[in-house]
This record gives sequence, C-alpha cells and structure tokens, in this order.
Amino acid sequence: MSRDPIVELAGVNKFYGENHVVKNLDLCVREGEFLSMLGPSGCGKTTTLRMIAGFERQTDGLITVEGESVEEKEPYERSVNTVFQSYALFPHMNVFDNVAYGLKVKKESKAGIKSRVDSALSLVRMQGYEKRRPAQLSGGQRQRIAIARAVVNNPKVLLLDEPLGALDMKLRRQMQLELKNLQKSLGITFLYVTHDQEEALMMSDRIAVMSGGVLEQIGTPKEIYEKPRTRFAADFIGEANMFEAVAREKRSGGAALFELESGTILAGAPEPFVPGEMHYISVRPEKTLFSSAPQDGFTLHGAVIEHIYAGSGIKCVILLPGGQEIKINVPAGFPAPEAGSAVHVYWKPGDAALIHSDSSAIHNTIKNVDLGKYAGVGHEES
Amino acid sequence: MKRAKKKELISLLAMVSPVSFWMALLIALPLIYILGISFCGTDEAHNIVLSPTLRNYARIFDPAIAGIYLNSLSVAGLATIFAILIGYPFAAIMANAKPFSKTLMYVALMLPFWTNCVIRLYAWRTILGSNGTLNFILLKLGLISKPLEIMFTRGAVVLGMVYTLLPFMVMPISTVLEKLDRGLLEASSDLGARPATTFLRVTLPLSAPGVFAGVIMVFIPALGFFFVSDLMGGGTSQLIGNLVERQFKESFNWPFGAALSVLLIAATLILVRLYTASGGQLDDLGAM
Repeated sequence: MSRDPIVELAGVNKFYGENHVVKNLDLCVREGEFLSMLGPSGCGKTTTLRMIAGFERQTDGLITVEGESVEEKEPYERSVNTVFQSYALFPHMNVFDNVAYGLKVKKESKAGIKSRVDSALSLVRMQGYEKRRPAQLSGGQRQRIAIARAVVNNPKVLLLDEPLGALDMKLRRQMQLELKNLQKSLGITFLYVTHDQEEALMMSDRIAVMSGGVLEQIGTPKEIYEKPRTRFAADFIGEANMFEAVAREKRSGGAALFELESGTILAGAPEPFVPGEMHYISVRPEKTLFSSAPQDGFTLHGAVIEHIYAGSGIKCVILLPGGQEIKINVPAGFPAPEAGSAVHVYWKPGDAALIHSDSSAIHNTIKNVDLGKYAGVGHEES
Repeated sequence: MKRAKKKELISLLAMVSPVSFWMALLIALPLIYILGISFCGTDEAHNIVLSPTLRNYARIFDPAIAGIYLNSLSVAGLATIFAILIGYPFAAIMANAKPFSKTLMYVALMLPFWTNCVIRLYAWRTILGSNGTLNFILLKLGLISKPLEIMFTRGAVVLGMVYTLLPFMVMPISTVLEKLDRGLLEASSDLGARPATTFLRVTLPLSAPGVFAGVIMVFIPALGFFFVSDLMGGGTSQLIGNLVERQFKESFNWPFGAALSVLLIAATLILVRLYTASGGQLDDLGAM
C-alpha cells in the first residue's frame, strides 16, 4: 500500500523568537491517505499545518506539495485548502456565497459554480440551507459548511485543524464517521490535526504523534497503539503501565526475562539482546492479567486498592511493594479481583511493547532542556 | 406580587431620578422648547408669538435658503468623502500596528484636542493665507509667480472640516478593524483570493458599520460647524450652521432658527436609525 507522497516536509524548523516550536520535522503524507497529527496542545501540530497552508513560514527546511517546493508561494497560490478550528465562515455572506467563495474568486462560470456548490452541499447534507447566514446555523451545521467550502475547490490536500473541537461529544462521534466516509468517497488526502487520541485512532490511516515540536512516532493506529516506540507515545495514546526494566536472559519463543525494582517480568526480547541493558516496557491495562497463583517468569505481587465499575468493564488498580500502581481493565462479565485482595500480575510476553531506553532518553533530554530554558514563554496553540 | 413590582419601580426611580432630573432640565426641556417655537411666528419687534404655523418649515424651499442647504450638503459630503479616503488607510494601519506604534498614532490623533479648535483653525490661516508659510515657500522656490488663493474658498472650508473631524472617522473604523477576525482573512486567502480581493470581499464589507458610524459623526457636524466656515471660508461659503447661528444672533428669528435645528436633529436621527437597522451598535457611536 505504498502510494506516492503528496506533501513532504524535510528538516523543517520553526522558531517564534527564541521559542523552538517545530524541531527538525520530517513528514511524508501519501496521496489519498487520512493522516492525523496527534499531540497535546502546544506540540507544534497546528503550526505545522499552518506552514503547509502558507500562513506561517518555516524558519528553515523544505516543504513540498506534489514534488514542488511551496517556499515562494502565498496561501492563495497553494493547492491545499483548510478547514479552520473556528470554521471562519464569512458572517456577511449566506451559505451559498460562503461555499461559492473559492470558485467565484477563481472566476468560474455562474452555472459551473451553481452545480458544484449544489453537489458540495449535498455531500455534507446541507441542501436547502443556501440562503441562511452562518449565525443562523448550529455548530454542527457550520462545521459541515466549512467542510463544503473547502472541498468544493477540489484541493489536492485538505488540512483540518481540530475541526470537531467545538462540538459536543455525541455530535463529535457522528461527525467523525461522516468525515471518514467523506474522505473515502472523495479520495482527497486529509491531514488532520487533533489532540483527541480516540478520534485519531478511529479515523486515521496513519497517525503522527508529536510532542514538544518533535515527531515521536508515525504509523498505523494499530502500530501506534500496540507498538508505541517512545514513552510519550505509549503514555499519550490510551492508558499504559510503564516499567523501567533491565534485560536479564533470553527465554524460548522470542521472549526475555527482565528485572524490575519490584520483581521480574517477561516481554518480547529486544534485537540485538544485550544483557544488563535498560528498557522501558509498556503494557496496556486491558492486556494486563491477574491470577491468584504466581505465573512463570513473573514475580509481581500486590494488593488491589481500587475496584471501579465503569459500565463496559471494571477498572482495578494494584499497588506493588515498590509503590508503583498498575492499572488493569477487565471486560464486563469476566471475574475481577476484589478490593483488598492480593494478586499476581502478568501478561503475554507479546503484549508488552519495548521502548528502547536510548531513544526515550534522548527525547527526554531534549524536552527537559527546552522546558527548563523557555519555561513560561511557550507558544500557546489554540 | 403587585406590591413587589411597585416597590421595585420606586427603588428604580430613586436610583435613576438624579440623572433623569438633570437630563430633563438641561437637554429635554430646551429641545422641547426649540421644537415648540419652531411652529411659532414673530411680530415686527422679533417677539415670538403663539400662532401655530408651518411657515418656518416651508421657508426651506425658498431658493436662497435651499441654495445654502445644497452648499452645506455638498461641503459636508466632500468633507465626509475625504475623511473616508484619509481616515480608512490610517485606521487600517493603526489597527494592525504593534502596541507601541498604535499608542503613538492614537496620541497623534488625540493630541490636537488639547488645543481649542478655533485656535487650530487660525493656525491653518497662517499656513495657507496669501502671505502664509506655504505661499512664501512656493514663491521662494519659484514654483509659482503670485500667491495662491487658498483661504476663503469652499476648498478651504472642506479642508477645515476634514481636519477638524478626521478623528471621528478614524476611531470607529479602527475599532471595527481591530475586532475583525483574522481567521476570516486567512480563510479568504486559503480559498485563493489575492490580498486586494480579500479586502474588497471580506474586509471592506465587514468594516462597513465602522465607516457608516464615521460618516454619521463627520457628516452631521459638518452641516453645523459654522465657525469652520467663518474662519476658513470668511463668509464665502454659507452652511446650515451659519444660517441657524444668524437666526439666533442677528436676525432674531428664533422660530425659523428652531425649525432649521429641528430638521438637522431629524436628519441625524434618521441616519442613526439607518445605522442601527444595518446592524451597527449605538455604543460604537458613543465611544467617541
């Protein structure tokens, strides 16, 4: 499934004064894919989007769209369109004129404009609203018009800046599905910025996880969720039990024994295997298991301190002797440990994701330096 | 229930009554008086006589009076147009300036208000007069052979109006432009519009309420600022304001002066009504 790249960023940096908000970013968006940039606010994802749209200039590095550098191009010369977080609909124009704006500016014929606006409005199921002003529409309707106004221009790439951020949860879920279906049927490349990890997992073909201006990991939702490569990716997307572990010995079936402060565990063996090397290991709460008897290789034993009913399942927290807390999610209908009981904790070695200590150590160093030096002058992303 | 409402009303009255009292005494009463005498006549000794008539209003169609009206409207219209042409770019630059330059421009705009308007107009006379600074420089440079007659023309009156009233055009426009959502300009650019197109299709329509507010605050005073016409026009250019002034100070025909004033007030109210009907905020007018 290797499609041609349509947007490429190579070594892109962005400074606001002293503030380094995008750090040496390499990113390749493939034609026709739905790529999400996911990260907490202030991680540089919106700035990256704005650089591709042309509202911001990169300090250095190269941005190409369809193989052509956009360095010298103003936003109105670029073949991308944006759906803004605040929608940015023109308040003095009705729905039809808003959607027709891009076509009118390009001096399309009147009949052509009419038919294309009609089909764009039917795409977002907003026919019959042509004469309304944006102020007379609900949030979800404005959202649809903002999308119609962008896709009516047949952009090569549609840039979406947290387009669902202002909607309530229920509408959000509904619009997520609609957007995903729209993207599939139009075949337009979507570059989607969000801080909602669930949204990114549900909608995307690939996710680019960003933190502190650095691209932490890029991959399919499955790869990102099951094989997080950095501590940040493991922590930010879903919940994770994180361990600092030292490799001890190789076991059969590709597994290896690791030693923690509070016991030993099994996980997939790193390649190459170096005894004594430090690793971070992340295990999802729903993959974390418990038993009353010790399991081979695992010596984690602790007390259940929380037992919370959460509808679709039960969430437990187990306190290890070293003070670390481990989260376990048990699906509804399965037995869950009672609060106050003592249990052994284990998992299938294949369910544990290995994070090489080097890369995480380097990333942490970079992050710490920046935080220390520029604390309080951070560029606030809205 | 009824009692509570009555109590509420009394406390409300107690709170607003001092303000209402002075408003009534100083503004409402004189206006009612003006409106009243505008329907009265005068005897030979210029005394106001109570005989209801519309004659004062009918006199507006007298060719001499109508001529003054038309002249006044054209002076005010020209002054308003020039105020927009100068004021809009100024307001646009001010709205987009960095905080320090913005303050500086604001001060430059407001500083002249510290000096009396009449004195500032006299300054223009020293600059533009036949023996004034401008003519002196132009003569010395050999650009002209005899002094330009600038003062005491209609042009000088328009210049004086624009000079006096410009801040009232700049302020409402820059207020609107400052509030303009920059995201809309980005959206326009994103959709393929060049800066000039964005200005014509987005910025200008959205700043129209500010321009309209400025028009009201320049056009109406420009009809009435008789001292500008006196100082800059030297009696060559009669305005409605001059006419009103003369009725009260020279001709002693107060009823006719009152009728002229009522018409000016009516014109103002109509314009303000149009302004609010088009979505303008009264507060933006009052901001100055």
